[in-house]
Amino acid sequence: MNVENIIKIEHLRAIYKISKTSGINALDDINIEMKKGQIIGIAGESGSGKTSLLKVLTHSFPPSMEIKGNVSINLQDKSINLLKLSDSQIQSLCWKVWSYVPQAAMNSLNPMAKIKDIFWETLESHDKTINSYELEKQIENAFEKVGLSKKFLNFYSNRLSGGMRQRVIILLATISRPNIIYLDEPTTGLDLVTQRDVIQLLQSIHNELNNTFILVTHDISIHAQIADLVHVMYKGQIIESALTNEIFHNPLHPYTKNLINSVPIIGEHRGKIEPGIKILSTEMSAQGCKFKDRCQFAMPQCDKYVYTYRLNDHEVKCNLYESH
Amino acid sequence: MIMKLNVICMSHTKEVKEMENLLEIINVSKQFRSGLYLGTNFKAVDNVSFNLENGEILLLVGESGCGKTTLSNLILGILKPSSGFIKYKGKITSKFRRNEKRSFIREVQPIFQDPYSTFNPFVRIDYYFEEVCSNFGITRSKSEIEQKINEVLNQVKIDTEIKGKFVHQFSGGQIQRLSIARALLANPSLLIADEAVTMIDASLRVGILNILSDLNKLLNLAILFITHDLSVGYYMVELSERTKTVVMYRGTIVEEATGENLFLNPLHPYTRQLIESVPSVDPNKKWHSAMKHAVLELEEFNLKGCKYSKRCPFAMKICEEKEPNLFSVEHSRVRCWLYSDTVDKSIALNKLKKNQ
Repeated sequence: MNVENIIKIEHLRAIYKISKTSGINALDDINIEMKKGQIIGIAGESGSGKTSLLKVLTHSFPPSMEIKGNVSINLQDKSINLLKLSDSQIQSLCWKVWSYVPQAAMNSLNPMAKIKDIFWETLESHDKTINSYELEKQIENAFEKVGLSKKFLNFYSNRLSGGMRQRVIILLATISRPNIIYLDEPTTGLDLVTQRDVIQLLQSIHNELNNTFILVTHDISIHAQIADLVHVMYKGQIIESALTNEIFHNPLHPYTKNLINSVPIIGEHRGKIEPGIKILSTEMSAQGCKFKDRCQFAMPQCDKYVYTYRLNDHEVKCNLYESH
Repeated sequence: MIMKLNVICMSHTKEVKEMENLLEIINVSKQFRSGLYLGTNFKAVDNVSFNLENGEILLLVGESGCGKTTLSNLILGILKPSSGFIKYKGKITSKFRRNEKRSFIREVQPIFQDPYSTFNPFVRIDYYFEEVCSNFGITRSKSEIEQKINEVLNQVKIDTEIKGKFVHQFSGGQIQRLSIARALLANPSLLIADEAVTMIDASLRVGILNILSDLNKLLNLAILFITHDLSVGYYMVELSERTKTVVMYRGTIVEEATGENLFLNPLHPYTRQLIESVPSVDPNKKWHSAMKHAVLELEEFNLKGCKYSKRCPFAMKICEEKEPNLFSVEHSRVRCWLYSDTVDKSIALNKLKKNQ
């Protein structure tokens, strides 16, 4: 495996401006180095900032969002500072350097265009030199490979089921062989059989292209199946990150522990699982640990600061490990 | 007051116990037409029958497009069946008199998938709850209503004040709890939970499942629990005593069993695939076997033989020609030619052994 950093995020903060003086911290001091050729999982509940992070990385954030920090993409021949690009530069890089699988599979294909035209329009707008005949051959081959019939190219998207639409979108994102593919909840809203189908498709595409996948999903068991390493997010911060094997066999943060324990397993008589976290409607944590209001191990010092514990590649933000 | 309410509940349940089946679905079918002009007909629910006893949990499992939601809408009376009957407490629902219909609407309460769109965003939660109480004729006096609301909120384990608050001031997990509380205000005897935990974050899911199974025991409440996730279904089976599981595929029941049997010893190839597809939190247990891809839904609905034959790894010649009946095998009933005595199935059985 190549150990070159393809994406480097340093002290990234993103604030959604509500008024002139107040705003919501969607991302709070994020530092990640992503290595080339890996599948990087980002887990966390809704509102944890997963989608905001992808919005910054794909450069599709709204104008009301204030961004501080540094994001750079390192390619073989050049290095790109992502936050200082002009619109035309983004258009030429998008779909060549990175592509994006959006969140809702059911609604993200244009219902007024045929599948063929959706492919053509998307690819043509990012690369003017594309050859239509070659492209059609390429799409047909790709469709056959994932078990979709060629006749679907002339269909409107409403005739396809959810799983088929998701497969079409994944093909659309991967057909131009970009270096990085961002996947925003690719399996949410699909039932389990289709979900497995999509995961296996992603795995085979990754084996073939050997590029970097950034997989964002709240479903922790999807990460166990496919990711190489997992970052767990909570309220805009990364609270734990480690290799997949490590994080599932030896989770350290109380939140991660609870997330993994609350998945029921068929055939294991575990009886009643008591949720280890409290539910609250509003959380008031300006300082210190963001999780302390829901944590059952909360200590007085959690109000003031958070300790970052490091052991090899495993990093966790929790005061429980301060004495180690 | 709580004593009094309990007495009411007790007498209420005694009355029902004399009649065994709370809900009976008898050969229900629902036909839809797909396409705007001269479309094709297909049966979203095809000749489905099952019983739900008082105080029992029935799990209805299947992927999207298998007819789970259509069936729940048929039971709630939102849709009318094309053929067949639905009996509630021994009476056919479509022939209810006015006062019977009224009590049916009160006693059969739905919990919907999306907690955010269940409540009106412009109405305060406490006002909403008071309205439910007075509309269903639970009580009239203000103090009794307040007591009832507090009792129900205790049952769903909400300890924050709801007075004067709107929906957006609660988190998703809390709104789903409030939605269960709203259903409980009507003193129901049957809850229909259609994918009630699908939209909830994984870490809060078990909390809601715990509440549902507690209510089942405490109030002897029957629950029709609809889900596509078999691991959630297994958790409900583990917590409760009287459960039955029904697996549907493209409108037909393919397997039904009581208790844990279906999870530990699945018979139908589709049920096996569903159980295999549950993602494990153990990174060492990854999927290896390849899957057959799905074909177009509408084509599958109109197949002459077994609806699963296009995706089944053990498909035989007879599967494409003739639809199997429900065969009884030990504790379960399964709709598959593999379990028939009259069919030559040696090749398929060999495949099955290799697969295990």
